[in-house]
Amino acid sequence: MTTTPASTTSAPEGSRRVRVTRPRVRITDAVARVVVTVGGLGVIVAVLGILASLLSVVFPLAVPGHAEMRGRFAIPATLASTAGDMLIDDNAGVALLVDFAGAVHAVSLVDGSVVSGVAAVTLPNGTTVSARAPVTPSGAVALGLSDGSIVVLRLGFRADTVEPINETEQERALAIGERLPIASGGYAERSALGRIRRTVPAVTIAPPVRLEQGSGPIIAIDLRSTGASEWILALRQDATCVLGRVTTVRPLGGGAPRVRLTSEVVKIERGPDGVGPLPQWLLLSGDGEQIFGVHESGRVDRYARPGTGAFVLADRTEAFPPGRKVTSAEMLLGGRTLVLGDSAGAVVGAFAAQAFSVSTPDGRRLVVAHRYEPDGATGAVTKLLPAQRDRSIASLHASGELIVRNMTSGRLVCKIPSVIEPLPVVTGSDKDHSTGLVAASPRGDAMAVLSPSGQLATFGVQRGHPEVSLRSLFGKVWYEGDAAPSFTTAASQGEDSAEPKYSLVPLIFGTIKATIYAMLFATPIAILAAIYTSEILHPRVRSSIKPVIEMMASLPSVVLGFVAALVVAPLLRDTLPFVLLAFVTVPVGALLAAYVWQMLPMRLTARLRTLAHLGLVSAVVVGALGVTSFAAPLVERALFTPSRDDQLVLAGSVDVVPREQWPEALRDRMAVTADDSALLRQSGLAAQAGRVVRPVGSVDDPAISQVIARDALDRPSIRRWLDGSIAAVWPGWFVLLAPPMIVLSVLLRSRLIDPMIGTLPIAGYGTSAAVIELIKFCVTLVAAAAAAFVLASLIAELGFDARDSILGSYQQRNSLVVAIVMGFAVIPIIYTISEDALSAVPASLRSASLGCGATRWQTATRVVLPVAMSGVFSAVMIGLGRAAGETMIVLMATGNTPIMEWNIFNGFRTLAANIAVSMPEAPEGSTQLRVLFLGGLCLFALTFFINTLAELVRIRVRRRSANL
Amino acid sequence: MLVQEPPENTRRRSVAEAVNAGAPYEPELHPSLLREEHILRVQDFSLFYGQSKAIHRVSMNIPKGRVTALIGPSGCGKSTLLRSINRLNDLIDSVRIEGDMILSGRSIYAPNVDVIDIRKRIGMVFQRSNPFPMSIFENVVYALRIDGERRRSVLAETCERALRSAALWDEVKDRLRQSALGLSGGQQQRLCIARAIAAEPEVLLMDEPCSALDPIATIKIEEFIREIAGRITVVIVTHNMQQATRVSNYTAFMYLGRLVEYGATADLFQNPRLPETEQYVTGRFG
Repeated sequence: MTTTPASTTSAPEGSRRVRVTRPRVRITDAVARVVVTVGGLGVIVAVLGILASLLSVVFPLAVPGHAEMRGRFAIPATLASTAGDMLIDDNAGVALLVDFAGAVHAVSLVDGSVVSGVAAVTLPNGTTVSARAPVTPSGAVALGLSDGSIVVLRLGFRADTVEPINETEQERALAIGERLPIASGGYAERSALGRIRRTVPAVTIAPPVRLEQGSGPIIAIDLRSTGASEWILALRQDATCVLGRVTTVRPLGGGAPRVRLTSEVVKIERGPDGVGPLPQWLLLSGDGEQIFGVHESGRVDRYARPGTGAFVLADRTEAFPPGRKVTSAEMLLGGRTLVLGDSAGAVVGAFAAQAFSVSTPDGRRLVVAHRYEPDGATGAVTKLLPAQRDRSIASLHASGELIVRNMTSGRLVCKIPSVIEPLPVVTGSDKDHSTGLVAASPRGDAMAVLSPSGQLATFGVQRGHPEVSLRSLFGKVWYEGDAAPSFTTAASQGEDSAEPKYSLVPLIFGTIKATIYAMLFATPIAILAAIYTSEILHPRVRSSIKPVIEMMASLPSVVLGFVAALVVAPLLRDTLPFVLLAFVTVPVGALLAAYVWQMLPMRLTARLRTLAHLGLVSAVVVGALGVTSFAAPLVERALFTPSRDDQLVLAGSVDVVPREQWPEALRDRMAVTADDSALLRQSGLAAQAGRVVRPVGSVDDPAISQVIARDALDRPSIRRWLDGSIAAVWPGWFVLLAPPMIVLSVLLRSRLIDPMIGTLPIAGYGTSAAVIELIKFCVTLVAAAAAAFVLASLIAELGFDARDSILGSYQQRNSLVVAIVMGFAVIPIIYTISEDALSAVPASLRSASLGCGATRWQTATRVVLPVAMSGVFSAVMIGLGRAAGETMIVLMATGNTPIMEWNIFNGFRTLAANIAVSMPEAPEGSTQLRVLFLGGLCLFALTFFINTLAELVRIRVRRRSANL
Repeated sequence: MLVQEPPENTRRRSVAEAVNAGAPYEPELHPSLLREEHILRVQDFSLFYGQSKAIHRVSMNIPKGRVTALIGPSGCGKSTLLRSINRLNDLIDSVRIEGDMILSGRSIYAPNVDVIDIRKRIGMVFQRSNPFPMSIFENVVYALRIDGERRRSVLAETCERALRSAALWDEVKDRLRQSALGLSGGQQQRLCIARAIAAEPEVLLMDEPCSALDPIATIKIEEFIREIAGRITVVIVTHNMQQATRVSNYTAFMYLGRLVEYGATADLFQNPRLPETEQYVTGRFG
């Protein structure tokens, strides 16, 4: 038997070959070793590098801002104690002080020297400044005089670059970054480009304008500017409040700007007897539509004008607990949030929030949305200063501490310990004592603090990223104007004053929603297909089908997204009942076909193999789809036909229901929305354009029936039902409950009913048994439908509407489109890997199971699938990772609205899509960009978590079947 | 072993000659077979793997309640014949058969036969133990489970009976819920036997059940076979002549895809009628 070649053994003695390894082989081996090592390490380094670079972009978000003192001077106390406002220039080289008499002084922040009387308001004889408005971001200061006049000062700085030839001797000696005070106020600095830049104060003072209305000195004044308009609000001693609007119109063709002035009187409520105290602070919202009257007691009166009418008191609220006093009031950037400081050092933010549940003239109510209590004995707030570029507020406290905090996120920008003496606390009505001043450069990177005794300190401030805090990223935040705190992601920010909304929660929600719906669609199909090909399909067909499905995986996702948006979405919109019904009819049809198969004679079924078998299965699916297209209109008619009342409401034949007859829960609402329609439907009412309406008339009325016929309002339509135009509640629950009921009743039958029937002598084999099985199946289906109907009616009767949760109004690009198309992206992955896993199960196990008399299906589910479970599980998890990170399909197939609803018929925005959408508009180094990277990191963490979990489970499962 | 020259030897061509000549070959059947009641009749059974014919018109009757051993050199088609009895060869893509087998009067290969039913009546033990990755208990009652049996008492009773029958009960009764994969090789094979007989099949097919086992485990399985002989018909494929003599009542010698000689084991081993049989059973060829 042994016929081995003799070449190696037959070599003659002595000439025996010595085996040597050739140098080339050695070199190849060494090179390969180095290349493999470098390559492997390179991959690890690259992955870690990506992670590190992500982290390095995100990390600055966590770095708190900080401040460091730049300079400290003493200026004459006489000046400091009478200073009412302070303004510093961009580079914090010079400060302007406006004193109580309206004179402007320049203080050098280079050496503390004072240039008095840069400019001064010429007060008419005997008048004094009786009220001061805080300086606006544009540098305007409004002063109210005791004779009822108003003076507006515009403070600013002029920066000029000086030609080298014009430099003075002293300037020439300056090194880059060095500064030199100028005698007339201001300073010169050698900029980084090497040129001398002189910054000097520029002050213009408009002549006083005397208010016609009311009498007595002005006791409170406020100034706001928005674009072309400037609003001035002044309160006089006799409680006359005047709102003036100055509009500057610049003609398009050039020429001198025209100034238009309008004014109106605002009635200030003083309580029932008309002699109550006047507010100490009167602040105007940025759009001139709201006035906040702040009382020292903490009471805030909000005046608003509903529509275009006159201002009325809209509502009032207590901003502070009793016992505390308001010590300072300001409007935050944007002019919508009122910021108050109190005697205990707390800072609160309040704004008018949407509120239909309370009846205010403008449907809004004043809410205290942010409240920041001091953490330490900082003492009362003596001065507030809103930042000019973001939503931070600087609060100067009695202890001399300066706290800068972002109002939206609540995050501290910086906390500057006291460098000045403790500050006096004065009441709001005392306008003649300085309580210390704080000023910030427009960019907010420099600040200055001045105490009444003349101590002046300047600081450089690193602001960090104050808009971002854990709360603003992952918690509910009450944003300006919103009805309640919410998780909100703003698509993009228009301007500085827009409130940044960086919540990641809607994005994480969107990612999870997309993943869940896609996996619900893809997993069963992929795994069943894998079982079918590996266990049931003929091997010859398998070898050609598998590559075809794998080719699906190579479809670029942008193509799939394109198809989703342009083909699937419109198609789904037009064939929604068909598609929804197909989810039931195809599986049920396949099962029915299986029962019929049992009834066919064995001589027929035994012969059917390979392609014919596959063709038969396809024919069953196609047939089921055909039946579906036939049945879909019938089902839609049965479930979603508008009732006569629905038709009347749709046709507009309605009576508006007076508020007294509204349901109790809605009665104090301003208007009803679609969200309330569930409640209204219970009492036969409907919501239409914010009103509660009741159908009137009859569909038999010719006029109405004509409208109905013209617009086909009596046509059954699931989309109309989803939009809430059809009142019946149970169909939605029926649709949702039918599939689980079918599964449940089939399970129930096999667990409970079958064992009972099994004891009867009718069970057996052959065609008759198959007929009995088929009848049992049909009965089960009918029973399931009946159970679904009963349950649906019961739930509807309890007042729950599916349209409030998983169903809802229909958008063309919705989660179902994503589920289907992303399913197609994921199916090949899950299919391929699980098919490999199933095929890898040893044939001996299959033989053993089949040898025991198990069917192929029993073998697949009881033996093969459990053994291959680890592989199938990791297939699902890899698919999950793909679905979670998928960008293009989601981007193109949904509306990308970051909303948080489970409604399968509306969109969402995922972390990945958010990055793709927002990246181009995020400036480098900005908070927005870093938050996008954080979103990427979250996505990474999410998929990492999923994959780790998958790996752990896989290892566990594999250990169980390791000994095969 | 004393080998007598069979008197008929001279009038026949050797098997190989006959095969090469393409002549039909009639097996030597010992008359002792005729006395038995037969449970399985193989009738002119041929099996093709694609174009190549693996079994050539085999006809043989398996006596009921006896142990029949199939012996023969590697590749002679004995395992294929065994797997044809419960139609496990159906799983192989290119297999085609001719002829038929009759189990208790019912055809196995008729077109209207439900192969699942056939397999439920025939148990099988494979060369390599192949317990399912489940608990010992679930392994044994697998056949009952797939028949939809849910009553715990029936399952437990069957499990104990099958395990006792396979002489495994005492070793595993305290760990029925543990994985079957934790058992030793011999135990695993006995577990597979218990699984195969749990549903009380009419015929038990054993495909070299001891070839991967140590002598002690082999002895235990042989004891089992001797014990159930009479209750269940056993068809066993073995390469081990001693084993065939120890456990079987009848022995069929197959060669080149043909049944060559078939008779009572003692007869066949002590008085083989063909030189091939003699050479094989004495270990001179194969």
